[in-house]
Amino acid sequence: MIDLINITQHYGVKPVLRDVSLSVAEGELVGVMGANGTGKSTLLKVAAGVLCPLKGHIEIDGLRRRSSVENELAIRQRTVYLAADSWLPMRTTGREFIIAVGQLYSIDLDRLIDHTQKLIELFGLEEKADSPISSYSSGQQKKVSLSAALITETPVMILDEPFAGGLDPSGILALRQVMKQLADRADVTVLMATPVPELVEQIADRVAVIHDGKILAFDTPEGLKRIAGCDGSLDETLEKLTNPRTLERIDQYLEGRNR
Amino acid sequence: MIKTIRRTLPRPLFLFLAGLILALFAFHGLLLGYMSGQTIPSVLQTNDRIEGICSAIFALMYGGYRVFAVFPTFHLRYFKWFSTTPWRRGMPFPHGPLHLHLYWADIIVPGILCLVVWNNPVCPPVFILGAVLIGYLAAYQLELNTESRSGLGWASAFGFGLVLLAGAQGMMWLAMSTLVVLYALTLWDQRLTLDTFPWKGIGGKWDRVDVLPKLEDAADRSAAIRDSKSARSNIRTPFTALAPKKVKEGSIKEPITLSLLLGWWTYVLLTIIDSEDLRRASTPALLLIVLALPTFRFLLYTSIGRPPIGFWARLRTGNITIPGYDQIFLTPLASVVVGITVLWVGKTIGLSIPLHMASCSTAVALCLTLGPPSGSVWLYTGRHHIRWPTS
Repeated sequence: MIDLINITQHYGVKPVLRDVSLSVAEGELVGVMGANGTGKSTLLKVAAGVLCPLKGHIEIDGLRRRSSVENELAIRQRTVYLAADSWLPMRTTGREFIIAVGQLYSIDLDRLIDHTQKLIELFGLEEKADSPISSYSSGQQKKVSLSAALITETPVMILDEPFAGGLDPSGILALRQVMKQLADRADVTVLMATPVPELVEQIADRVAVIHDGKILAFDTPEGLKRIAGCDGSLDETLEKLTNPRTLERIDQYLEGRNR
Repeated sequence: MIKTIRRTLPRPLFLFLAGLILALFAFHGLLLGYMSGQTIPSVLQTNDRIEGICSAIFALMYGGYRVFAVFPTFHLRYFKWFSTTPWRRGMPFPHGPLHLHLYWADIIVPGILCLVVWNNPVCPPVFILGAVLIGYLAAYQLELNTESRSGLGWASAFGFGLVLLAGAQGMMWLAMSTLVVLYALTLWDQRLTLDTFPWKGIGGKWDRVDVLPKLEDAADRSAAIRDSKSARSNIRTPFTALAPKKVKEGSIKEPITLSLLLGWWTYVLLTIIDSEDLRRASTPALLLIVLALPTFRFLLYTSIGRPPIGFWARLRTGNITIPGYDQIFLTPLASVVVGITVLWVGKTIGLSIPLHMASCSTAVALCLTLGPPSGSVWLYTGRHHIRWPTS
C-alpha cells in the first residue's frame, strides 16, 4: 500500500506538486499519466524516497517514510524504484549487476541465480548477459534495469516509464505480460508512470491523471471515460480531461488541410 | 637453511636495488660534499643523515614486506587456492616467508642495515630494529586486523605515538619496550586470527580488493559479489542508493577513543618539535586543521543528501528553516564554539602549547563524533534529497 499525503514539492521556487494526495491499495496497479512536465516523475521520486517533499509525507504499508531508521529500512526492504533513466555500472556485466542488486535485497543466492537466468531469457539477453554493460544498446540497457528491478521481488514497485527507453516489441510484450501477472497478484502493489495509454488501459487497475502538479482524476479506465464523458480510447479521454481543447484544435487543423 | 633464507628474503632484484640506492646516496653525498668544498666532518655528517634515513626507510619496508609477502593482498587467485588447502596455524606458508611471525632468517636484512649504520649518530642500529617492527606492525594492522579485535589497532595507534615521543626524547628503552609489547600483542592476535582459517568467503578479509574483473566464470563472480562488500558498494546505481543497507552504529567507545587518539597525536607532534619558535609557528596551522574538521563533517553529510530547496528559494518561499535538514549545521557550529572555549580556558589557566592544542583537538573531535545526527539517522531520516547517480 502506498499513501502520498498532501505532498507539495518545489524545484527552487517552481511548484511541481501542489498538495497532492494519492492512495494505492495493496495488490493494486496504478498508472500515473499526464503530459510532459506535469510532475509524474517527481511524484514517483517522492514516493520512492529519492526526493524529500517540502510538505506532506509518504506511507508505505502503513510505515511513514523517514520517520525512523527502522521504518525507513523496512520500507526500503519492501520497495524498489526503477528510474526512467536508470544509471548502470558500465564495466559490470548484465548478469553480475542483476545478481548484485538482488543481493542488496538479501535474496537467497541459489534462487537469485535461477531468477537472473530466467530474466535474461525473458528479455532475450542470453548473448549479451556476460558482456560489460557498455557494449549494450540502449534497449538492452533498459532490459537490464528492468531485470534488476524485478529481481528484488519486493511487494511494492515504483516504476518510472518502464516501457520507454528503446524497448523492442518483444521486450514490451514480455514486460506487459509480467506486469499483467503482477497486477493479478494480491500481494504486489505497483505505481507506474507511463505515457502510453494503451498499455495502461490493458494492465492498470486505476489511473491517476496528473495535470499542473495536481491529481485531476483518479479512477479505473472505465471510470475516467465516464468522468470525461468520452467513449473513445483512453488516449482521447486523457486529452479531454487534461486539455479539452486539443481534440477541437486537431479537428480544426485537419479540416483546414482538407479544404 | 639456505632454502629458508631464500624464501624469507625479498627477491634478489629488490635487495640489489636497495643496496644500489644506499651506495649511490653515500657516493652522491661524498661527491657533493667534496665538490662544494665542505670540510670532511661536514660531508660525513650530511652523509650520515642520508644513509640513516635511507636505511630506516628500507627497514620499514622490510617490516611491511614480511606481512604482505605472506598474505599477498593482490594475489587473489593464490588466496582462493590457499583457502581450499588444509593449512592450519603452525604449518609453513606455501608462498613467501614460512611463517607470519618473525623468525631467525629475519635477522639478515635488518642485520645488514644495522651494520650499515653501525657508527651512524643520526640513525643508530636500534632505530633500524624499531623501524622493522613499526613496518611489520603497521602492515599487520592493514592486512590482518579484524573488526572484532580492533583493540589491537587502537593500541598500535596510541603506541606508535609513544614510540615517536620516547624516541625523540632519547628514551630508547621506552620506545623499544613499547614496540616489543605491541609485537607480543600482535603475536597473540595472530594466534586467534590464524586459528580461524580458512576465513569465511572467497575474499575473506580482502574485502577492499575489487574482485569483479578478476574472476572468470559467472558462478565465481556471483559468489565474489556475495562476499565482497566493496563489490556491492562499487555498484553505485539508483538501486544501491535506495537499497536497505544496514549501517553499523558503532559503540560510544569508538568516538571517544578516536578523539583521544587525535589529541594524543597532536600532543606528540607538538612535543617532538625541538624549537619553541617552530612550535609556536606551527600552532596556527594545526589550529586551522582542527577547526576545519567541522567543515569536513558538514561536507560528508551533504555528500549523502542535498537540501530540498536552495538558499534563495528558502527566502522566496518563506521556508527560512527546514529543521529536518538544518540539523546538520548544529554539531559543526557547536564544535567550533567548544574548540574556541577550550582554547580560551587553556590560555587562561596557562597550559603548555602541546597540552593546550591536544585538549582543543580532543574536544572538537568528541563534539563532532558524538554530536547528532548520527550517520544512519541522517541517511534514513534526514529531510534531504538523495544524491542520485545520473547517466
